[in-house]
Amino acid sequence: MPPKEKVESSEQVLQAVILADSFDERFQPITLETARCLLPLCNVPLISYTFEFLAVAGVQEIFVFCCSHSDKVKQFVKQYGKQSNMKIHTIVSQECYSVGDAMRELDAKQLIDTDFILVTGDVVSNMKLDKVLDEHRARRQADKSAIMTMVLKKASPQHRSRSVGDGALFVLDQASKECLHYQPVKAFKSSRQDRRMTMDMEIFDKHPEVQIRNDLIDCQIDICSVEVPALFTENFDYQDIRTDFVHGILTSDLLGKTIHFQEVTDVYAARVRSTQMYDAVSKDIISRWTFPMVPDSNLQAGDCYEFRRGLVYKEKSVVLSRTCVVEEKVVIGANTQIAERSVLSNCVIGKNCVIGANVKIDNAYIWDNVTIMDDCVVQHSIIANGVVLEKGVTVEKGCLISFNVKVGAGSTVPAYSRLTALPEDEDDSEAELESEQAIVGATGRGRTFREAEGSDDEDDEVDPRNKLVNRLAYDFSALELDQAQQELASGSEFESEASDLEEDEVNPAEDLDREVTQTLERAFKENHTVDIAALELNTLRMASNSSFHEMRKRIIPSVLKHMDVTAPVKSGKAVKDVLDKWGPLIGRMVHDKDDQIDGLYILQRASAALAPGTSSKVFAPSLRYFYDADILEEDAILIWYHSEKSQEGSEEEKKLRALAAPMIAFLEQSDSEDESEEESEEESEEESDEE
Amino acid sequence: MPYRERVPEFQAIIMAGYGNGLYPLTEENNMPKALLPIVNQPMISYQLSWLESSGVHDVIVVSLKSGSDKLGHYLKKVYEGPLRISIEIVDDNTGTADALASIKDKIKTDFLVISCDLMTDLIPHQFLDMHRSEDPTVTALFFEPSKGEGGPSGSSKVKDVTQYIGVDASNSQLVYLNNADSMAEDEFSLRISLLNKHPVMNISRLLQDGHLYVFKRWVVDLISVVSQKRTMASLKEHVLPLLVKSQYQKVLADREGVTKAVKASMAAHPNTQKLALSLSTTQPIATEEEGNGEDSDEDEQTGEWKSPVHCKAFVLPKEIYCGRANTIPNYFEVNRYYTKTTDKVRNPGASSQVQTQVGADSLIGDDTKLGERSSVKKSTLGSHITIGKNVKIVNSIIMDHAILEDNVKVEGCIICAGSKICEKSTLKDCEVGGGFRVEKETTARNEQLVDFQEQ
Repeated sequence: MPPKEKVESSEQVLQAVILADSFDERFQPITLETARCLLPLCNVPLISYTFEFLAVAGVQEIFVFCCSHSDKVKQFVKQYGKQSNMKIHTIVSQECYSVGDAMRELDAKQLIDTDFILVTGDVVSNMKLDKVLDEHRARRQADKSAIMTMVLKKASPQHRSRSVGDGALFVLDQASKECLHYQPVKAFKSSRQDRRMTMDMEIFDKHPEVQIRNDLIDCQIDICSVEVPALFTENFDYQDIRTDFVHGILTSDLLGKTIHFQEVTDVYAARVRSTQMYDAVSKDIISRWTFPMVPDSNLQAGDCYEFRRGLVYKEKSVVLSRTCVVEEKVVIGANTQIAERSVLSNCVIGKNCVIGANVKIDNAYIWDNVTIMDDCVVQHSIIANGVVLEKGVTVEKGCLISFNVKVGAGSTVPAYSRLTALPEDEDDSEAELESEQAIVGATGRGRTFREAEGSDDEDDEVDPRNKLVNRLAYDFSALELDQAQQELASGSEFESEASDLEEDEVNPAEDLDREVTQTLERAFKENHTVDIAALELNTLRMASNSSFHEMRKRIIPSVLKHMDVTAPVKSGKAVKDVLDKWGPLIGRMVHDKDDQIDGLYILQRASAALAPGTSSKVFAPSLRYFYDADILEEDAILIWYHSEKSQEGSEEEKKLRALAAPMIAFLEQSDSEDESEEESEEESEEESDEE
Repeated sequence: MPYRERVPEFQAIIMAGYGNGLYPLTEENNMPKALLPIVNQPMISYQLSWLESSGVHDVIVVSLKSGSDKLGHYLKKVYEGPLRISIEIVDDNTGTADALASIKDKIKTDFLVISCDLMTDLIPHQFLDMHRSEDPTVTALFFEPSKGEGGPSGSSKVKDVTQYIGVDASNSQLVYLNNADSMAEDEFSLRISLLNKHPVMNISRLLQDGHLYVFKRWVVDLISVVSQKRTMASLKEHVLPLLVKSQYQKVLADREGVTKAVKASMAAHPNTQKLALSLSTTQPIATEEEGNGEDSDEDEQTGEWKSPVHCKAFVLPKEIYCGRANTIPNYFEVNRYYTKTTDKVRNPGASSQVQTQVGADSLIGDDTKLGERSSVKKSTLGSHITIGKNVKIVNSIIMDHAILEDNVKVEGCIICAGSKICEKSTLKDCEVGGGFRVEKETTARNEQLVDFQEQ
């Protein structure tokens, strides 16, 4: 239970809690060696921006909550606290793995006794919170159940300061400023559920007029009442403050709490949630959107940047050679030297760096004490402290090069690499680093970083691409290169996208279509046994309450499509391979004679629907196979052949029927005399050769 | 001002329906819905004067067969305004879309469809200007009904189906339209792709369709397609939802003939349609289906489908009155509002009456006589009504030629033309049918007093 409340808060000290940890691994391997909130953003540690933002808001007391690398954070905070009027405390807890854990810890320690501001340690914002705080307090006075106010910033859905894949939909009541529904949105929507916004109808009973917003950036700046940590303790399974806490509160009838929002415009607010956002926010700072938090306001003691034309910020002690070119949007830290003919654009360079001659740096973030020797090219990457790039190194876009890596002369770091100089086995401090010479070169030092297995179980993404979109320099074309994933996408997504068009009229047949296709694809891809596939399909059939006919109608075309008949030679073998493997599955869907006849019609139509020229290659061998495998019986084939239905239909279908003629002749003959099978096989093969 | 012959911008079509919700007022022995009095003036006269002030000249009144005589008489003989009115008669039990389909050939320009029960203070050009400036396929009026002050509930509990209406807050595009009965019961669901195109969407279930639309000419072709496919096709329930969905769903637009209708009209009037499309602010929809390629349409060559349909919603500001006299409570409400705001002489015969009380919120027609010690409050009385002594009328509507004898008490009632209420009766929340005779000393509550022989 929350402690007794003192609503009269104007006299009280305004408190804020900073969650210095992000509880994710998007900046690894860099964050293996330092805390997330200490990463330099335009040469100033991230958390300084958050401190500054809170100071402007009038916060007097700050609790910094940190877990990993807490000693470093502590040290930094101690240093910072000396020059600040705010009282800054650090709370260290090694046991926290989520925001929820942190809040529970906070509740246990009972440090907070009034409404407080909850932010993460990576917020960059120039907004003033006074109005938000006033409104929150007024609301609290009127209604005790209003426990939280979220500050949301308006921006279009494709805004650059919006973190790709971290979007969310909000359903709001503009009259009461209440948030009614929250739903996160993924960048890649692989399931039907992902593609729809779904909310409880009951919301309309209380709020007949609502507004659905897809243009709000959620920077996780929240004004929380003291109940919020307590509620986390009560609901010990809450982890994330949005997907669990907000969602839980809004959907709970029992708690009876409300969450409000405050929409802000014309201010800057963003969170450095991912490397992609790191890039975007850095650019915004350089472009002065975050004013007054810009490099030349010298947030950090000892800095002395001067602002020059073309958005260039330069420390006094920088040594620029006469022929080097500093283009637009560049920040250069103290004591850095840049040699002849180097070209810098859109980049941030830290302190004490040495940059050689003829170097090209574009869109890159180079931290302190980095040495870049002559003729290097660095594109759209983050290069951490102490890295050495030897002569002629090329770093392609999207790389993260962690502390003290050394890349040997002449090597090329491929796009999206993540390099670290830490030994593979983290637990064993004695372990020696085994350098991957293929990447870092003979004289290099470092290895490719691999994410720990199961590291993404906190957000069990179905679609791996949802993780990739947050990467630095991400673009769609880069993903397209990934062959395996593309296949996955082309099957499931386009199919379902097409059916998506019709979604308003929910069609069970389409649902079944999609499910069957997906099941089969999975089966083909992962090479399931027929038993498993049949079991899955049967389950689907029962779940959708459909007949075997419906299943045949979907399975046969899928299997036919799976055959690779485009190969110029040996296409017969491809057909046979597929049928050997998957023919029995069709057999499972065929039982009596009527089924067989029905199956034949479907086979005829499905083959005809295949790419022109390939239909006959598929049809004749399939028919033959089914006959041989006793899936289709003689009688059924004859009935089919002689039925009128098989003679109707398109030209292609008629042609296929004609293909069966030799077989029919054989069957009719074999009634009287037993002929050898070879002959008819030859015949049918002759037929297909004609095509 | 000299009248210039010109191509009319809009044609107007007034839908004079039966008024199921107004039974028993619209029985044969009273009058058709369009002629029901609102502050002693037929309902349709309000739409006609609204159209007069909008500058529309050509009006087609679509009437059902029953009641068309009386309506025709009114339009030809009584109405004296400048509008050119023609009357079209359709069979009873025809849906609104069917009715429009049947007069398809008479519609030559973009057209305005207005229901004869729509009563609004909205200034026409506010509404029409939206259509003129944005050039959408359809502009529809939505309003939030004002809350009633109570009155007769009416027999027919025809409650308007709750509609969920989604309007893009930035450009008032009508994006979403769904009836509560066609939705899943416990979940409200929207495609996120729709929200990407319309990031700020207001969803309301308070708003009601005002049955005032402006359509592009080609929509009438679509309407006839829809009316062939269904029986009782209605504008509100079939055509409008189809248009709204066709803004995003290519498959649906193709299947239901929307695309075809647009193309046909584009062929007929290439210039205007091209202009219309270029003005369309609908964002292209990314269709990744295979098999679209055959059509050599301009838009399809770029791989994107741009819907030719664009729907706008005109959401009436709350301060402007709007009501639909389509049910008895609504009729009551509309009447009360107009009685309050009318600038007619409230009690023309006041001088000849002694010891009577007429409230300032009431209105009494010509030649209506009030007996001694009678009082009228919050009520509208027609003409030629005879009212006896000591009669109390509260919160009621009394139509022409009714007779209320001495000591009658009437509260919350609608008394139709020519009916007679004999002495000492007390009626509360009742509807009295046309020409009905209420015997003396009747006490009734919540009843409908009608002759049954006509049913």
